[in-house]
Amino acid sequence: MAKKKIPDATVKGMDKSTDLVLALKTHKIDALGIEKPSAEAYVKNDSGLKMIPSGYDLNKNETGVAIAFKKGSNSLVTAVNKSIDQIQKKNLTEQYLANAGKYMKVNTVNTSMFHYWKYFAKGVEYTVLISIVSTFFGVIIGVVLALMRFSKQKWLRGLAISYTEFIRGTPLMVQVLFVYFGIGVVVNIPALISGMISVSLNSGAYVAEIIRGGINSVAKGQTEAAASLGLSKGDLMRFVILPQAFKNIWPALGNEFISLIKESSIVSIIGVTDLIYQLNIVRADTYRGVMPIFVAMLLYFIMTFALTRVLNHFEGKMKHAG
Amino acid sequence: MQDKKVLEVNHLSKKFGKNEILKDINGTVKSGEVICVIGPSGAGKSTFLRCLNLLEKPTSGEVKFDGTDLTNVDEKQLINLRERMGMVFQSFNLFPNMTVIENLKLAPIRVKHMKDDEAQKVAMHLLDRVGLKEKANAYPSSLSGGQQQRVAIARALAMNPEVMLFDEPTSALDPEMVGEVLEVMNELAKEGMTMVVVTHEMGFAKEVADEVWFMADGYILERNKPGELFDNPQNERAKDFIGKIIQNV
Ligand SMILES: Nc1ncnc2c1ncn2[C@@H]1O[C@H](COP(=O)(O)OP(=O)(O)OP(=O)(O)O)[C@@H](O)[C@H]1O
Ligand SMILES: [Mg+2]
Repeated sequence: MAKKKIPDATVKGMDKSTDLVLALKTHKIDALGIEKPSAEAYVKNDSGLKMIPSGYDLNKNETGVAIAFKKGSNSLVTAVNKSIDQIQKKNLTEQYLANAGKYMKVNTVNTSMFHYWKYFAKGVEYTVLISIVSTFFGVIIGVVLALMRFSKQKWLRGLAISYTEFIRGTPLMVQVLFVYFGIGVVVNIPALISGMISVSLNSGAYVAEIIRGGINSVAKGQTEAAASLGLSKGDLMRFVILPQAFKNIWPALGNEFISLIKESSIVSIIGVTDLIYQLNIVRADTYRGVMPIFVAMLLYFIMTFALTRVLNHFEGKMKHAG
Repeated sequence: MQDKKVLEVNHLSKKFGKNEILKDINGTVKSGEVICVIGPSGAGKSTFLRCLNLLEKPTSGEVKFDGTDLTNVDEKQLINLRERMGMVFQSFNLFPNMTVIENLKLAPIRVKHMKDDEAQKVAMHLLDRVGLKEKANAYPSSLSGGQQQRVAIARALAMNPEVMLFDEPTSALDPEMVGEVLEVMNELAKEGMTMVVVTHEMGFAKEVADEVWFMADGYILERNKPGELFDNPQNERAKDFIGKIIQNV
């Protein structure tokens, strides 16, 4: 549309107006076509911006608004159509617009990030919640997969290998979408649960590899020494292999937990209110492009750094014992 | 009693893939005997020793321990028989996650279901024997190679084995530590332990071995009293090999 109306313009698409305003401010784009109420809000909030009424001569077809309904809700569609007809007949649009302007939450008074601490806190809460739950189930899935890898049954080994390879060979984002929408076809599960399921399934594959690597890294001589003493396979694992493997597994597992905190941010695409999702809400609300990102970045760093310290503490303790 | 056959090997062969490492090995070890096995690198000495307690599964032939063919028993029986044989490795293979005393106590408690205080007593007695009582609560990584190997011997002895297998127990050690380990083995031999020792320590072999077996290319090419084999080898390959190790000393 802009192409038709403004000669020599290249069009760049982005999905959120906050991102577009930011792009405008950082000279990535020259101008931004936007609805009047939003533009007003941005300009009020930022003296570096200026609003120019486009004066586009738009006909009715070009300003069309659509409302989406669930398939089969016929009565609703007729009802809505009826109201629209009435609105047009009585020419209520002008009045509505004025009202909407009043209602639209344009927070230009207090855009300090402290004012939004509750939003960030909720984001951190969900990010931590998803990470903890996924770590827990990821470890369980990982242990089961690792046991399958060491099984005598060929098909169990094959199954574990296929699963691991498949998970590692596809992006987490696709897995998140697949679990949410794919399983959503059969049973309706909330976004948060879908997010936890997909991140756990993903993490399980990586944890399995870490465990397998840790076990394989224990010297072969240890197995032979244990066997020569008459120890059973179970005792060999329990007293000799696993305690040693755990020393190698622990740091790698720590890295996995830390990357889980970061990677879990992908669940925001299905609407889970994790830190990324919340940061976008704050951006939309304050019309400030960078600050919320910076705050989220700091919060992520604080979480991962704290976890690193905790893990190092335990690692140090284990070194002492060995 | 002296004539009781502890180990009996008949037509033992071992292949790794197509590679035949052991070819028709025969031999017996009687109770209280000390056998030293020598031979060039790659001769199959370690493989032979590992076939004796079935750490390596023979391709064909028999390995009889106290009359039972180990190649023909199930996993459970094998574990039962194996606990009656001790093995000491070139690289010690102590469990690094346990203290010295824990290394010694693990198998007696888990395999023989010995009570903790009894295992403790046995372990301390053995540590005293190898001169390492004061290291009971140390971790293996804080010990010298010679000390680690002595602990490894004590750990094998804690199971009160009927035969001890040694695979080059001193060849990973600094020269000044070889003596302390050989001394422990020497005492063990004098106490009547049945032993099969892969070693190139001629002094030790001459002093305690009843017989020396010379291995090359997967065969035992010569077996003789140590004095005979070292001073007057009959086999050409053995003559060649012994000439070389004498030069190296
Ligand atoms: N698990 C295995 N798989 C394949 N080949 C093996 C295996 N173990 C040993 N071999 C081969 O068998 C041959 C004999 O090995 P072995 O360790 O028994 O020799 P050795 O006489 O003990 O030699 P060294 O004096 O070097 O210890 C070598 O060529 C070795 O490469
Ligand atoms: Mg060897």
